[in-house]
Amino acid sequence: MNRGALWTLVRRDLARERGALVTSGFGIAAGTAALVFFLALGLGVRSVLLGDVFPIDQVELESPKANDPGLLGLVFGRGEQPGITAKQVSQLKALPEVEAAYPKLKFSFPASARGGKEVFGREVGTSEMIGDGIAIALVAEGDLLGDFPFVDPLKHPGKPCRHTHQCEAPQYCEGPAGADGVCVDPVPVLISHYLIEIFDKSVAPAHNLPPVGKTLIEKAGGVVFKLWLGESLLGRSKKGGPRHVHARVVGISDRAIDLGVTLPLTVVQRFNREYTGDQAAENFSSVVLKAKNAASVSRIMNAGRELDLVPRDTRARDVSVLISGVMALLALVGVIILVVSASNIAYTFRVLVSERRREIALYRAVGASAVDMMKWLMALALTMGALGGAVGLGVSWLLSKLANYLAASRLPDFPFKPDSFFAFPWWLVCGGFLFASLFAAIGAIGPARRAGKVEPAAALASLS
Amino acid sequence: MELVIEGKGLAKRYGEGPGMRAALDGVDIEVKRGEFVAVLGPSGCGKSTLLGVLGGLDRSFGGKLWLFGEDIDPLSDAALAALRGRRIGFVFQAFHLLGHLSTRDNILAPALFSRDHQAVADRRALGDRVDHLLHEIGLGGRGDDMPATMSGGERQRVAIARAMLLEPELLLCDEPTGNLDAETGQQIVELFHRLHRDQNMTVVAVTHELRVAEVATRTLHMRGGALVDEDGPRSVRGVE
Ligand SMILES: Nc1ncnc2c1ncn2[C@@H]1O[C@H](COP(=O)(O)OP(=O)(O)O)[C@@H](O)[C@H]1O
Ligand SMILES: [Mg+2]
Repeated sequence: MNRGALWTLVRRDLARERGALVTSGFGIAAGTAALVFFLALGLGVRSVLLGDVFPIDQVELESPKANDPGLLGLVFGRGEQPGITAKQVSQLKALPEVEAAYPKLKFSFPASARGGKEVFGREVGTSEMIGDGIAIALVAEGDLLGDFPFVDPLKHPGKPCRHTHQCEAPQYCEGPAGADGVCVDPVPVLISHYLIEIFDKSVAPAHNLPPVGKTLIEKAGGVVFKLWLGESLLGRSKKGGPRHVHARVVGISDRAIDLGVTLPLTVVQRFNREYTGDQAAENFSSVVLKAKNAASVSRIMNAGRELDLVPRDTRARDVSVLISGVMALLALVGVIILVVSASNIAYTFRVLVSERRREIALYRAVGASAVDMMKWLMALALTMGALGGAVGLGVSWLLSKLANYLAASRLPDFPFKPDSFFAFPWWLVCGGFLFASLFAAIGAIGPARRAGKVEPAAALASLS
Repeated sequence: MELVIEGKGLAKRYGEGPGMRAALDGVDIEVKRGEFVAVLGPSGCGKSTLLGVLGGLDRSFGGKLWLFGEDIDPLSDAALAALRGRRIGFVFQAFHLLGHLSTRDNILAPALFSRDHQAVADRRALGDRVDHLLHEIGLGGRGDDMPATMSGGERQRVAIARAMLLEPELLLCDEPTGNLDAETGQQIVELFHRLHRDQNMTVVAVTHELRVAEVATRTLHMRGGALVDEDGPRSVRGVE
């Protein structure tokens, strides 16, 4: 029997057994819908959490002693962190699993910030500001908002000065307090998407400030604020005189520290030397290692352990495991529905075969083999599975739209609230389809074998 | 003359132990090409069982069977199915038309399973063949009628057209007039007669109705699962 004949038989069945097939196909559709819906939800949430909140394909290593110094450590323990040496960084960079290594250096002295008049209409400030330095090369072109580059301002020094009023705005006078300096552009800083999310969704509403958002910062063309060095609410640095520098938000970047500002590495090295000493300028406080793939992160962590470095944060893995577990549990619901609908199909097809004993016998008489008859029923089941699967996929997609709509309209804003909680990668769509067909086929196997075993002679000799 | 059917010691039992019945009890039968053989016998004597065996519909029998000179025992299910589809046509008492299909699609049913048959490959010729058959059975232009709207005689004629679609060499009929009134039955008998006479079709018809035997070239008699001499006593072959 060729495919054309098979399709002829199946098409006729779809027309005449519509009721029974719709009922069985409904289960397949429901199971596929549940399976795909929950998997898409899991994948969507996972990509938001692991892509934006906890990147899973990178790990940040640091010295164990620097781990969690606490507030007191921040004030009193400065300069005593051993840090990561340049040699260690290059060793890590040489690992085959490492795609890129980004050394980072934090302010080793107290700092705070004031500014934001352009954006908020009034000055706001933080009593404590964490500054982090990263290599200029790490910042992607797309991270920058306007025309302001992410470079050490001292690369283009202006005229000598002692006070900022001697410089042309927006330049300020850069140099240790009370000493001669040069006029330079504001220090470029990057902030994180995370910071914006936290600010817009949590801080701004609480303080009656407008949400900044990326757009607002873009419109302001680079928010300029004052960064106070060497002094904060928590104390004063041991070395160097407190002073302030001008800083400008030039971009929003994944490379930026979550809570704080990110500066060019050389700027932080200079400030650390000024306020703490040489060691604080030469070593790095941590190194971000981007893995070639998420699976090799644990090998990178092991390699780091041999260099006596520990991961800063393992939340990404914890979250990943948690989501996978919940996803598996929910997907199980879909699979159970599919199993139930497979047994439902088995029943429907058993009835179908016994009702069609004579028809099968007649086909056998006019030239059908037992295998032809099995193929026929399997083709019918697969077609039903495919149709049910298609309906199920459609339903899950519509449900995801509905859920996204409800989330957008009913749920309050929260940090990292995504536009869509769902992800439908191609393999999920194909997989849902295959699962639907597979379970329909499993259900039909038994009845199809019975169809192959129908005794034509007995069925045809009967008068009814 | 070439043998279309050759059966030796054909035997078939139903059931086990004390309830066992021998539906066929050592039947030897030869049918030559071009013969019209009528097998006459009372109800329950094993005629349908014999026809099922001869047509390769029932393989669980004792004895040996050659169809068109070929031993069917070693044939695979698919090979035997192909042989049935291309070389044998069946007509049954209960017609066995498919209610969900039009007359035309019923007649075309054998084409579904014999794709490499030359008559099937050419769709156009196949369509013409159906029209020709409809015309020949006196139902020209009624290809779109559904079986439910037809009389018994018309249905049986459609069933005969279906059996003839792929121009088989052998036509096996099981009580083809059993469900028809006398007059309609007579028309069917004449249709068989014509097929045999005009197309030299080999026909084996099992029936308990004498009128089929009237157009046959040879008549066999069956009692209790065995063929008996026409004029001999009932117990020639040990009937209980
Ligand atoms: N499937 C079956 N199971 C048990 N006995 C059967 C079956 N088919 C036929 N028989 C018995 O075998 C004998 C022959 O039946 P059958 O070939 O149908 O006779 P006929 O066609 O001449 O009326 C009968 O006694 C019948 O009861
Ligand atoms: Mg009978």
